[in-house]
This record gives sequence, C-alpha cells and structure tokens, in this order.
Amino acid sequence: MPFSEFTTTNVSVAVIGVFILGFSSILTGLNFITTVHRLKMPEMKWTKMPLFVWALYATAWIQVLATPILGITVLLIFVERMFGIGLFDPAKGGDPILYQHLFWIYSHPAVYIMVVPAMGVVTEIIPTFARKHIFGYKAIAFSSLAIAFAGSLVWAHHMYTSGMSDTAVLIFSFLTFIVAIPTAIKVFNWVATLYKGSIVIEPPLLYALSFIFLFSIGGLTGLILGSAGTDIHVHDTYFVVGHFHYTIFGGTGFGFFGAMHYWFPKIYGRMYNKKLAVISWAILFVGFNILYFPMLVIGMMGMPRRYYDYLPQYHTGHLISTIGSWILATGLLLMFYNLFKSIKHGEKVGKSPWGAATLEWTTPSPPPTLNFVGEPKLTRGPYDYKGVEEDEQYT
Amino acid sequence: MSNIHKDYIGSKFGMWLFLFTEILLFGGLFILYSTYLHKYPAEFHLAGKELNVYFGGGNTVALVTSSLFMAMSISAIQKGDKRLAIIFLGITLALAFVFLINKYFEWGAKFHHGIYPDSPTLLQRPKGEIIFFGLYFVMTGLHGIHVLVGASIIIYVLFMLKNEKVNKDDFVLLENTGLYWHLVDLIWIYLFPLFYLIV
Ligand SMILES: [Cu+2]
Repeated sequence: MPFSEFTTTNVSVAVIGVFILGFSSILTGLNFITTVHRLKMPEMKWTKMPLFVWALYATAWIQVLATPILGITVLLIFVERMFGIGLFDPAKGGDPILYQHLFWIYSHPAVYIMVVPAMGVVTEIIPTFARKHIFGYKAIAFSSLAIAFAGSLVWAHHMYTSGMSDTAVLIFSFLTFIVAIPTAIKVFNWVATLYKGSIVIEPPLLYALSFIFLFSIGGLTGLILGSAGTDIHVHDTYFVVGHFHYTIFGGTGFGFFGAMHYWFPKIYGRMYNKKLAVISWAILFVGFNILYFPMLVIGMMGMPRRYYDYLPQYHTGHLISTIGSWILATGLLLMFYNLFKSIKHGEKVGKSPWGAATLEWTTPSPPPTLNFVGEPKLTRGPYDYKGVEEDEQYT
Repeated sequence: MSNIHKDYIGSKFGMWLFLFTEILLFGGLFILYSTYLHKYPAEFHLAGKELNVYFGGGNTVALVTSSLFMAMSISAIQKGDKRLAIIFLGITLALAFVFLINKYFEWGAKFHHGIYPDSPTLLQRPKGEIIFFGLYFVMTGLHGIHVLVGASIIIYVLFMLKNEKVNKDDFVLLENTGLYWHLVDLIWIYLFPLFYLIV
C-alpha cells in the first residue's frame, strides 16, 4: 500500500493542508473562467484577447477539472490513516496501482498548470520586443486549449514500471507524444514572430528567449521519458530530475522571472537597473545549465534519484552540479536585490516603457484603483504596434 | 466607474463550475467502485444484500422530497412571498435531518453487527466484501458530510431570508444553495442503486 498511508511521519496534517490549498486552486480557476466569460469589455472579442489571457483561461480549466481528483486522493490518504479501510491495501483486497492512477491524474496536469501561464508570458514578451504582430494568433490560442485537453490524458506515463498492462503503456506513450505537438506549435510561432522583427534586447526578452531554449531541452528530454522503451532505462534516475528542472525551473521559473521584469514598471511605476538585470540574468542562465545539465548525463549513466550518497563514477557530475547551484543562487540573489531595491528607488517611468500594444499599457503606472481612469477604449489589437504611444526615454 | 458589480449570470456560472468539481471529487470514488465491482462481482453481490433497502429507499424519498421543497422555496421568493419561502426552506432543512438521523441508525446497526472499517469481524470476510463495505462507508460518509454542509448553508440562508438580504430582487444566494442541494440529491441518486440495488 502507499507509503503515505503507513509512514509514522505526520502526513495527516500535511494532506489536510493540501486539501485546503486545493480549494484555493479550484476557486482561482473558477474565478478566472467566469471573469473571462463575463467581464470582458464588449468590444473585446475572443480573438482580440491578449494571448496571456488565453493561456490563463486554459490553465483555469485544468485547475477546475484536475484538482478535485487530488482532493479525493488526499482525502483517501487521510481516511486510510485514520480508519484503515484498505482501499489501496492488497491485504484487504485493495489495489495500490489505483492510488498511483488517482495521484497522477492530477499530478501530471499540475505541471501544465505551472507552465501554461509561463508560455502566455513568453507570448506577450516576444512580439513586444520584436515590434511585430504575433505569428499565428489562433494557433497559439488553440494550442493552449489543446495542451490543457491532451495533457489530461497522459498521466500514466509516470507508471510504466508500476506493473500496469502493456496495452496501457502503449496508449499512454502515444498520447504523451501527442502533447508535444501543441507545445511545438507554440515554439515555432515564437521563433517565426522573431524572424525579421526589429528586435530590442531588454531583460524581459532575455528571460523569454531562455525560456524557449531551456523548455525545449525539458520538452525533448520529456519525450525520451515518454517512450516506454527508453523510460525503462532512465526511470527513477537523475535524468528525470534534470528533465523536470529544465521544464519547471527553466520553463515556469524563467517565465515567471520574465513576467516580473516585464510588468514590474507597470506595477510600481519605476524601472529596475537594467544593466544589473542583464548581469543577473546571465549568471542565472549559466548557473542553471551548470547545475542541471550534468544531472541529465549522470542520470543516463545510472545515478538513481532520492539518494544522498553515490558511487565514485558519479562524483564529477555531482561536483559540477553543486558548483552550478552556487552560481545559480548568486544570480537569484542579485535579481531579487535589484527588483526589491527598485520598488522604492528605481527611475520613474510613464505609462508605456516598452511600447507594448495591450490595454494595460494605456493606464498610468502604477494603475489607479479600478485599474483605469474612466472606461478604457479598445482602439487596436493586442499586437498592433503601429502608432503605439511609448515613453520618451525609450524612443 | 463604480466598483459595485452584481452579475447574476456570472454567479450562477461560477456555481455550476463548482458543481462540476464536486462531481469530479466523487468521480475518483466512482472509478474505485467500478474497478472493484469488476474485480469482485460475486462478493459485491453478497455484501450488497446485507444493506437494508428500506433505510436506503426511505432516505432517497427524503432527499428527493427535500429537493422539491427547495425548488418551491425559490419559486416562492421569486413571487415575493417571504413567509412561504421560509416555510419551504425549513421543510427542506427538516428533511435533511431526517436523512442524517436515518443514516445514523443505519450505520449504527452495521456497527452493532461488528461491521465497520478495519473491524475484526469485517477483516475475516472475503477481500471483495471488505472493499465493498469500505467503499460503502467512505462514499456514503462523504455524501453525509455534504448533506451536513448543505444543511448548514440552508440555516444561513434562512437567516438571510429573514433579514431580507435574500429577497424578490436578489435571490441568487438561495438559487445557488438550491443548485448545491440538488447536486447532493443527485449524488445520492447514484449511490443508492450502486450499493442497495444493482449488485
Ligand atoms: Cu507527466
């Protein structure tokens, strides 16, 4: 039966915490879906919405549809610990693999809850700094929904070695490859948007570009794990750890940092030190790769995950990785120092420091209560840059 | 611009989404039920026979009737009849307690025969029967908690009716409570045949 049901650590309190957090996740998703349907300004048609909103909309559906399964799973852990019912205990007729299914039905979509909003951020940043209409608006909007849908059907790719049937392995492996398609659609559209754009290199763009690079590595190593044959070789090794960090840190993390640098001047009405932002980005990016790339290598060599100790042949990999972690931490500290300091002391900016075309850049920075001075007017599409008013110091 | 924003459709829209999540929450248990029914059809049949159809049937009648009174309470407030809305909602609440009291005696009888989770009597039974009673207690228990939560919300709405915070022009709180109550009813309508009738 699942370890969480008989370990003597205080799992019961933790799962109650998870259950309550689940409520917050569900209610957030529910709020965003309802808001997108009911609170758009009348002129804002579905194809006029910023693609970031499309990404949040798709994410909200995953939150609403997947989180209840986590809810029932942690509730069952709690009930099993309290009353010993035995629904997952073979000695009482239960099947532990069912527990794994319930766990992963939520926990695979959970990674899309983390990364799809980051993809939305990248979709905003790239056209702004390429001064070019986004390439393939509808394809990007649709691919967010496609990821949300297809991503809900691949959970058992975490269970190839669990003893489930070979037919199930085959089907879930196939479906996992399907998810790569909408993801690749996004990547190609981002690159196509950059093509022949008048690119301005600013800190948010650097984070967006590193997202594409790192997430591509994360995605492609994911396909190695998604094919049943190769997964048997690298299952439960550092390769999985490396893959996961390339997707979630390289993807969600860098997307999040990109968003902070993109909307920071809007939120605080001040700009951070751009030079320092670029330096900390560079340290972060280099440190990231030195930390996580060796994990892919020693994982391939057979280093198992979840052990604090290892055989001598993995020493070099671990050593490089550790040094990378120090570099990464330095970059993070510098980045946060820069941002926190600039909240009070940054140079003042106007409405639109980047010359972006979406509505939030037409209101003062920071925005007043209720966000806009008077009813906002929609005069352009989210990626029409012709005649955008931009703050003086940047034109 | 004003920040007072009442969106009747939006608020029902959100409630329907929440009801989806409730169905999915029970959905996890329905998956377990169907898998184990497939694995242990004979044991489920034998164990199911031990449940008392009259207890279950009586509770079904109580809940369905309570749903009727909930709907009538909403119609009453729509017509502006506060007194009748309170009476009908009060009857809904009373039927919720009929359900819970009935459940107390039903579970009590099972406990009396030594059948409760992890009990020595139950553990001597075949595995399929242990699972059947496990699912029975978990699923009807979780449903019972929903009845209790629904009843608490109904009590709150009764006060809101009394203070006229819920009134002829603004009754979405009562309507959403009604939606929740119908869901609690609906889930029971699936649980009843699954445990008492079909196996
Ligand atoms: Cu997965």
